[in-house]
Amino acid sequence: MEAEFEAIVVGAGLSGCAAAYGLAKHGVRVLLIERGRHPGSKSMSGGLMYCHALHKLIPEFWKEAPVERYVKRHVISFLSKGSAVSLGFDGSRFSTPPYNSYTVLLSKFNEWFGSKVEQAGGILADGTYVDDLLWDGAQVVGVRAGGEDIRSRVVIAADGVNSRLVESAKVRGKFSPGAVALGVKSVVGMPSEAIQARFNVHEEEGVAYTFLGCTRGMQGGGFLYTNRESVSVGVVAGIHSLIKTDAKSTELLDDLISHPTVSELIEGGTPLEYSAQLIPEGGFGAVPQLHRDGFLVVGDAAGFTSNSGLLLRGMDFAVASGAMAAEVVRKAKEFGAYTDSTLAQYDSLLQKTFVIRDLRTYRNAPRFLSNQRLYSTYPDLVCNLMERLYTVDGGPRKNLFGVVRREMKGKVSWVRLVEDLLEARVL
Amino acid sequence: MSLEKLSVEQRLNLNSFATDRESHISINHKLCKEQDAKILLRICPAACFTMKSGELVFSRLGCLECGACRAATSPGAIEWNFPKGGFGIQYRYG
Repeated sequence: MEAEFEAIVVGAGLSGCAAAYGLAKHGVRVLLIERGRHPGSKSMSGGLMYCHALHKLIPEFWKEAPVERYVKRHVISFLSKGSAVSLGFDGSRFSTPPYNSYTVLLSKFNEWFGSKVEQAGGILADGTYVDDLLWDGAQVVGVRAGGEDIRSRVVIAADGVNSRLVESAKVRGKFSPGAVALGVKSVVGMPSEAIQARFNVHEEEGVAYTFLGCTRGMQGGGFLYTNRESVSVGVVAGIHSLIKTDAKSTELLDDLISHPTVSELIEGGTPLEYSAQLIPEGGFGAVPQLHRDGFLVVGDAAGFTSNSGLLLRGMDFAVASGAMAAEVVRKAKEFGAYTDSTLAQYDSLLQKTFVIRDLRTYRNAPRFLSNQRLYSTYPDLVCNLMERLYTVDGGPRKNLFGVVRREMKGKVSWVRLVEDLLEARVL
Repeated sequence: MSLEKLSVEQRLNLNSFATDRESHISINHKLCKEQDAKILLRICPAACFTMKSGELVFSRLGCLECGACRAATSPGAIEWNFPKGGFGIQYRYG
């Protein structure tokens, strides 16, 4: 049977839109299928996008896309009960184009990206759920959606972390609890003038906070990003640590927003939306086989995210992998065959770029980040140390070394501390 | 409305949903062990799993389609699917 489309992309998130755009722009007949009512209606992210990958696909996209604020200040905060030690970085280079990163609200953003695909000539089918893949022997030849068979020469799975298609194509099973984390977020409305005053930024500028020590000792952390007229605040915790605790996932978000350091940043705000999302965190070791005959995997479905502890990235990986899948499909089209071996070029393209390179660089990070001391012992230590250092109450003083020794006593040995510091070289 | 004091239900009420008549997730009571039930009661950010007369039940209302329930439980403990096309959570911000 004749293929109606050259390519079908399943999922109009960032990776799917990037793939479909990369095809449509070059005149390839592509169908983008989205189960939500419009692209973006199922999209959720923390909200920090490193711009380089999309800038490459759509130069200066920030001029037309619904971006929020470029991030000019990054703050890392170690939280302990009632106190915080923070380190901030102001980058003037981050305030000029090409911008390093932007905060985004992904639902709005992907609605725009979906419309770009349509403008470029791609066909969008939204509100449509893909039930399964169509096969001709070992070759994927389309999808079954809404009771209809739609044929194509290649299918790109961009259906996210819970991808049913990668399971259907048997390139991997469901993620193990150790390979995913749960993110829970609240979007809190705030007038833009209030954001400018509170965070000491100009109208277009924003701040990104990373919090450690707010997860009851569980592997994870918190974040807060300023949008134009809202703030995104949330927590991320590993599923394997959530399984082992007595805490509810929702209580972690309550903990974070009731911490004095965080609550003063969102005080008076109006809650607008509550969201949750799984994040693949297995890194290099969890990446599945990325292609088979007539089939490619991109974005979260492929597990393309990188967590180095202080930096959690997924969106630039999604865009770049989508764009590269489009490139490979265009080459396969010229070549006239969508076999596993022609699509294997996808692997080599990814390996030549940051997608696989960065995953490989941080391949041992998951092991380091599973160290429980990072999530309570050390944040507590740093906060207590500072408290002692600045507490003047007329009592006898100890020199700095004495304070450090006293704070570490019974919590962590010097040997352990040095070992952990050495281990941190994998980051 | 103080942000800290919002219940899960109040948080979910902020969201927009198009709830289907059919449930997209079901519990396989044969494979869902006691340990799984304990995890499900805690891990779901929308508190969709509750105990009703001593039995674990799932309510599709408020489901954020995150997949935490599936990732956290033993294989087959729950029958997991996305809602049908166009249904479920409708993120406005994301």
